[in-house]
Amino acid sequence: MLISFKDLDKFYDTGFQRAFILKGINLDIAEGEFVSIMGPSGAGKSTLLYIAGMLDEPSAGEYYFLDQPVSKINEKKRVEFHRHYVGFIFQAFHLIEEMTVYENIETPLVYKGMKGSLRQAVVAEMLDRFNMVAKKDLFPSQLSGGQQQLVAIARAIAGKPKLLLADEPTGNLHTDQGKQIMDLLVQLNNEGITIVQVTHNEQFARYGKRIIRLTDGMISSDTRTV
Amino acid sequence: MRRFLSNITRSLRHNKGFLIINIAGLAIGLAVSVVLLLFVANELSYDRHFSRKDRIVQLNPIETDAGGSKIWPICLRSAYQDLPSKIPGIESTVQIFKGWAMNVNRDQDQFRDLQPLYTDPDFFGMFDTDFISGSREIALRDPNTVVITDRISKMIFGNMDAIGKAVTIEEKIYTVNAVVKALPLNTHFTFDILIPIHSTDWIAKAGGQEFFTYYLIREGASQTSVCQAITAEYKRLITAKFGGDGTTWDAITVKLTDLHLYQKSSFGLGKPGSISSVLLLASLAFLILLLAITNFINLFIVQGNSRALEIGIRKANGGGVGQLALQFFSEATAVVIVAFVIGLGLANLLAEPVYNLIDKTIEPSVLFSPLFILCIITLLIFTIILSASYPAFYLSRFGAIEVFKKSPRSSKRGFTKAITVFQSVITIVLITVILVVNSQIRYLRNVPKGYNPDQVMMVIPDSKSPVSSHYQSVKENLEKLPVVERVSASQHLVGGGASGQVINLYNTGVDQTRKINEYRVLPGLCELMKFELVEGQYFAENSPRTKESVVLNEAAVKMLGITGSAVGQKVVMHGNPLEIIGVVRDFYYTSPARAVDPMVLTSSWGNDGAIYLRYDPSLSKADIANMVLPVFRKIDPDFILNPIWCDDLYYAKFEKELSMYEIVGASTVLSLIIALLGLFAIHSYSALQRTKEIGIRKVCGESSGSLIAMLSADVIRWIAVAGIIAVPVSLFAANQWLDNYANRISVDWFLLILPVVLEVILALGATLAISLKVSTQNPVKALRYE
Repeated sequence: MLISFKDLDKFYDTGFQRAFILKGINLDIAEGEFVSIMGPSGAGKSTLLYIAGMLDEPSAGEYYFLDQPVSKINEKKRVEFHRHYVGFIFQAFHLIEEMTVYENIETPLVYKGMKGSLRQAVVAEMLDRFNMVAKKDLFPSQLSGGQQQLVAIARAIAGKPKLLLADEPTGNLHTDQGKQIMDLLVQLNNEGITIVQVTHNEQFARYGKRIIRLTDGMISSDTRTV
Repeated sequence: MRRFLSNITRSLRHNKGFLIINIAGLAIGLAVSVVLLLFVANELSYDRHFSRKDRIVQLNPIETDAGGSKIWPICLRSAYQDLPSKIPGIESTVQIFKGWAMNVNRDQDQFRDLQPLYTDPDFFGMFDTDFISGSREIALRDPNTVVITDRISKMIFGNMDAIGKAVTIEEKIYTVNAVVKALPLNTHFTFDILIPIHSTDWIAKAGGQEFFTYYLIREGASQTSVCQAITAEYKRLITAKFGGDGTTWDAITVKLTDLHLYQKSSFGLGKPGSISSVLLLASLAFLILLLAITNFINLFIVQGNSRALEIGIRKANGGGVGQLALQFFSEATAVVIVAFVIGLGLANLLAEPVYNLIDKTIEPSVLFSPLFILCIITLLIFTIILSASYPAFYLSRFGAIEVFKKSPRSSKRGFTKAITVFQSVITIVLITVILVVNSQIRYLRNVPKGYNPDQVMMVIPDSKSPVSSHYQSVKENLEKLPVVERVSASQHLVGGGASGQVINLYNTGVDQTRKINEYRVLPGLCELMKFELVEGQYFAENSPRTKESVVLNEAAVKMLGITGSAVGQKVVMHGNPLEIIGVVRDFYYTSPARAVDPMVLTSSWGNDGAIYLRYDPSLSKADIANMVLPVFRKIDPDFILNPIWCDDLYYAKFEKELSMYEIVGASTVLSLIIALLGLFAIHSYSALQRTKEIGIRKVCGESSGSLIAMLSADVIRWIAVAGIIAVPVSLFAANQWLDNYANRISVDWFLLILPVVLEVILALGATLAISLKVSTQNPVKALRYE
């Protein structure tokens, strides 16, 4: 199993009260799945995503990534896991403003410690795949929203992750651009990358093979699409 | 690597405003530190260029009597002639007699005011310097030869070889037998000419303590035991000569390298430095640097807050804490290095005015000395470590998700505020100190002096000039000028040095002998100086009693324990009974910083002294000098008038306070600039952060005026907190400093509150522009920002 949540809680202690963001989450996601997480604002979708991506920690329960208990592995190993197996894309793209397209895609590879020549080859492959060779020296502010999200995806998958986490990847895009991005995600999924996306959009949610609905921090439904 | 560098420059370029403020603040701080450190390095480098510095000591006799102890820097000639042969640990001995500046003649040319030192043949064995020509073996060996410095050789002989050439000094002919390189400025003495002591009979045979005495201790010998032997032997010599009559003697040795900063005697061969001024300047340098560094950290962190998003993205893409820390550390380091280079340039510009201010010439070689270079490198590393590590540590620990979720981050505003408060504390304390110093100087200047030094001109004629021998006629002629109110003369300059003597009441034992300062004056001088007569009368002209009378000041009356009227009582001075004819109110012939010492005015007069005249207050100094010159020229056609002004002498006593005032003042201004720059940047950032809040408030109908008030309240709150901390600190510091003064102000509440108010006004001024901008902008713009 790629991801396995066992009785997972996330809460904040505020004064005398304990505010639960996630409560009693039990969820397994196998390699190769394409999961959409839906739910109203504040249901805990993003938190679940960040815990899955090891950017956040659960308050209680256990999270197994590739059958290893994440809370028991040390910080260094966790960063290694994150670097080698996880890619992130965001609603607001979150490209680094001071870096060119090329450099943005290169960033995770640098952090991964990849050699210069190899890095160059990987980035070139990505630029080629997303038809952005001509735009490699532009800065994010010089691109349209859809193009920025493409760069963000290129950056997320440049390191060949097993898991791609997407936090409302189409939220800031027109429907047309959104469709384009979703088609791309399906394609990536077909190539073997496991994808977990958070979305508000029913139509885009159905691109996934499995839809999980969260309400008040709990899983209210877990269905497979046809 | 290239990518790394370009990232640094790009991200720095992206934040230009912050960058400029940041670099400016740090550069100023560094420049000041460098300038002050150079001074400190210079002070610490004194006499360290002599190769045998660790084995050389100076002998200082200590004289103790009923009036207290006095440490002398000078010894008997026998400390050279007799003492060394008794102590095997002494390798060589050198004495120096400091002569007055002299004129040197070569053929028809005269070179004025050259500084001679009379010394012994081993001089260069102790104080090594390079020989331009001549050799160490013969230099100073024969009488009637001199050694001159390269500078003087150039001045007198041009490019000719000076060896074997004759010069005339004080009507005596000497042959130059060596030219040496002038000693570096960081030597505790200086000379133009060296003359063997045995060339001049009256010096070689001087019976008193006249000679600065240095011993070179043999290598391998125990310094402590040799020094003990020297002091014990000298104690024996001096006690045999000047002991008894209630006076006891002792002696200490001072290491050569301690002579400049830790001079124990009341005077020395050169102008001494003081370890306290070195410490003062070093701590000022440190304070300003600390201010600049905290400012830098603050700005970097505040600016870093706006980069939280970038940090989050980097973390989501696998950036580890270490990598991010390295990134921010490098960015900060790059900024520090740029600021450092600018700071060095700035220091170069600042150096001269600052050193003029403290009246100091820096030895050029100190600039390249290992000590100074080490100081600079330490400064750079210290600044980098302090400025770059905290931001790197702090920023790299930003959580990734908090940024994306836009949840209110538990930001370190507290730290930022603490730094701002800390900076305000420093500036408030500095402003208070500067106000206190200023009031104290003004107070000292206005302390009733007990005499009137204004409009008093003093002229010291050359001892060979006919003016000296024709005082009476000069006086009569000067008095004929309508603008001259009164003419008199004294062997001493009122406000200058006095003659140290002893005094006791008539018919008391020697154990009642007390130390007293003596001014020898002619009748009329007391009236001219406008001393205030407490009782009795002054010296009368042409009275046979005058020579047997004295006038005391109140301190002297008190010291002698006279109760009731002093007039008519007798004292013993110079072995003669003299009658007290008058008592004057204590007048400040020394600095009013100290209590007035006992003083006796006697009426004896050789031909060696100063002619005093009091002139009309409507005249300027230049006017009166022009008017009296013909009178002197009538008696001596070659007369050169070099007037000394009594008020200059008096106000020169505040030099130390004034230069402290100027240095602390300049530091205060600079720290204010740094702190205000910081405040400006922090305030603009926090206003920016509240753009949305401000927009909403405006939409809800809040006026611009009340918004400005709200934003300014923040600033005032910070400074109020700073004020609460700063007031007791400055009160303590001010009182510590003022306790050095016999006449001192008490620290007014006004002096403590004013700096806080001033700081508030300056801070509000610095932040007003920003408050205005954000509070008057269109709220729609602020809200659309989302």
